[in-house]
Amino acid sequence: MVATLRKVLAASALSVFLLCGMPGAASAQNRDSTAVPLPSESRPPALLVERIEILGATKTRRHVFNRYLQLKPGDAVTPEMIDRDYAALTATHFFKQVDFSSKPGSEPGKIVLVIEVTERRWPWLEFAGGFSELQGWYLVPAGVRCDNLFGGGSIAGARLVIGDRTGGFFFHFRQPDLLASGLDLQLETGSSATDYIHYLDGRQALHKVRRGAARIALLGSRGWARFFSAGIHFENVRPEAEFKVKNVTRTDFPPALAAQLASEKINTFFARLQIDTRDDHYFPRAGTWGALSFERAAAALGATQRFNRIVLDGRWYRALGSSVLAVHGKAGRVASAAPFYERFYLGGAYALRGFPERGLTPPGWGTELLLAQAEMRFPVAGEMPRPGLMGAIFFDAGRIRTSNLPDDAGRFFTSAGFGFRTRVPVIGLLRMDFAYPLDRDDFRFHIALGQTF
Amino acid sequence: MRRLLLTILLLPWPHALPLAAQVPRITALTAVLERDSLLVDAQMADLFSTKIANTIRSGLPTVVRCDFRVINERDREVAVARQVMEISYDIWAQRYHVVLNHSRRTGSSFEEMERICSTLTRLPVLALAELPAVSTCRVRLQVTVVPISSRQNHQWRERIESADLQEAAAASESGRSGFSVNVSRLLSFFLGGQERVHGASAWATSPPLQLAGKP
Repeated sequence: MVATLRKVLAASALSVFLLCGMPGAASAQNRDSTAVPLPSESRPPALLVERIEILGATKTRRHVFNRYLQLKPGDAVTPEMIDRDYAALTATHFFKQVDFSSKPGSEPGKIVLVIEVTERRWPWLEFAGGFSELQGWYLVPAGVRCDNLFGGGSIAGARLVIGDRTGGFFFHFRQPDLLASGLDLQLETGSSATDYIHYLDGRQALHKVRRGAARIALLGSRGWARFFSAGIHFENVRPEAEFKVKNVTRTDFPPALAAQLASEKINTFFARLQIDTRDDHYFPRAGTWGALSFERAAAALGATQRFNRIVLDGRWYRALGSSVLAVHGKAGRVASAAPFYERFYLGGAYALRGFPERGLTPPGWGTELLLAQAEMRFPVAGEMPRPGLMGAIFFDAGRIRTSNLPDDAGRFFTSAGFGFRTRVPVIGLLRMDFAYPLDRDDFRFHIALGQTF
Repeated sequence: MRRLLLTILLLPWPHALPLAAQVPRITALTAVLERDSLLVDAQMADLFSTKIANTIRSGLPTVVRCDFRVINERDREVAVARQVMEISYDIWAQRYHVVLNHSRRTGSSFEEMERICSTLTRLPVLALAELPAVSTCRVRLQVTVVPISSRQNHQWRERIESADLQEAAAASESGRSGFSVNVSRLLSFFLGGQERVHGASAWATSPPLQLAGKP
């Protein structure tokens, strides 16, 4: 039954991808979705923003507003654009109240946009949660945020995190556009304990790793700088010398892991080149996202292990009528001197569906990773561009290997499946995927938050 | 001393003015039964504050939301309904347009448009079949005037629904996705009863309407 379903699903997924990839099909879709422009005489001239007035801001500086407002003086304006900027300002949590209105400008067709805000004076309490493939489900039952404390748009806070496989305490601070440089300063520090999953003799083992970390980074936010970020990361990592299989404590690690149990200082320099042309970060319908990351653990920074790590990650989105074709590719390589917690894993809700979380990861974890994913997302219910319920069919393929081990585990694994994404108040996008590995009679149900990629 | 008193009297007013912004008033409300529908006649005043009037005159739209609650003889709510009036100004033709209940009316001056908006005549609220079996009912009405888009009137919902716009909720690079909720905001909403609604009138209630003849 499962095998038949898997074959049908794989065939239908393949046919949809092929159909959507056909030039004729794509161009037909494009022809359908192209709006016929109205004759120019029947379309009234657009309203233009003459200037933007901000009322009620006693501490928040003007450049903070400019960072979140896409509308600028001289721009044509529609209610939808104002809705977009209104949502952006509201989402900052800098203000208790935000109101947009307008008044006539100096001549017909020009408007003065009036933004009235009530600033937040005190820190606010945060409740947060989510899902991490590495750490499982987690909650932030107690968090404090002190955003925009001095009116410069800074974001700062402290979080206590608890989860089924993780726990810790973290501080974070981000100062956007530091000294008008176009660079954001990011500081993070914290302490955590995470249960890493190993598969030993086909059984899931939980292995606790304790970490204390601090990170300083400069992230480009505008101009050419927005493509770059760099920083240093200090981390003290202490893997425990025992693991648990079904609540039974054991110490007989396989050799590939036994050699990696010492406490290490993983102090690294990292740099990253990133491009993002997506039309929407949360429900992308067009554009690309790509990042090339390089990390070097060096003795000069006090690292006890020296290694380089490089990751290339890319996503591409294209609207096909009301559906979206989304493609993801990821390739990574890390030196074999890197301990397992700095290496790659494969299998799970984000990495390769149809397999257990990290179920395809070799015992000492991977030093080379290849992952390719394709999804056809289509609206089921609700209004575009962010429907309340979306369906998806997908195909995933991935390969992981460890460079100093025989290549027998380095084959490609593939899976196909279908799923649903629904918008849930408070928690956002809930994702459910039914995935079928194409090389065995099995299936797996994944539940996670957010889009896969 | 006199100067001090004068200063005290005058100083707070500039600060108080935005707080005491003009809100719409419902001066008359009557519910009637006609054929198979529950209809209302209503008269409103002070519908447009200076802020709203400026927004309309600039050419951007404004929404007047009419929220209806039908209550029975025990003051229990038995049905709800909403009608939305959309007001826009064509700055080139210098015409005001009011769209309500699938019909469009046009005014050549702001005052005429305000008159059109301030009078609801035989506005359908509910089909009679949608009402439960009650002998008498009353209709309550609240009007809310929102500049540009009705989205601005639901800031708490906006923040709850935009929770997924926090952190790395989007396509996560590190296989992580989450949400973040402003608990302070939620607490103030729930403990405070309900969100402070800007530009909303007080609820007005119609005289009782006999539904004895209801089929």
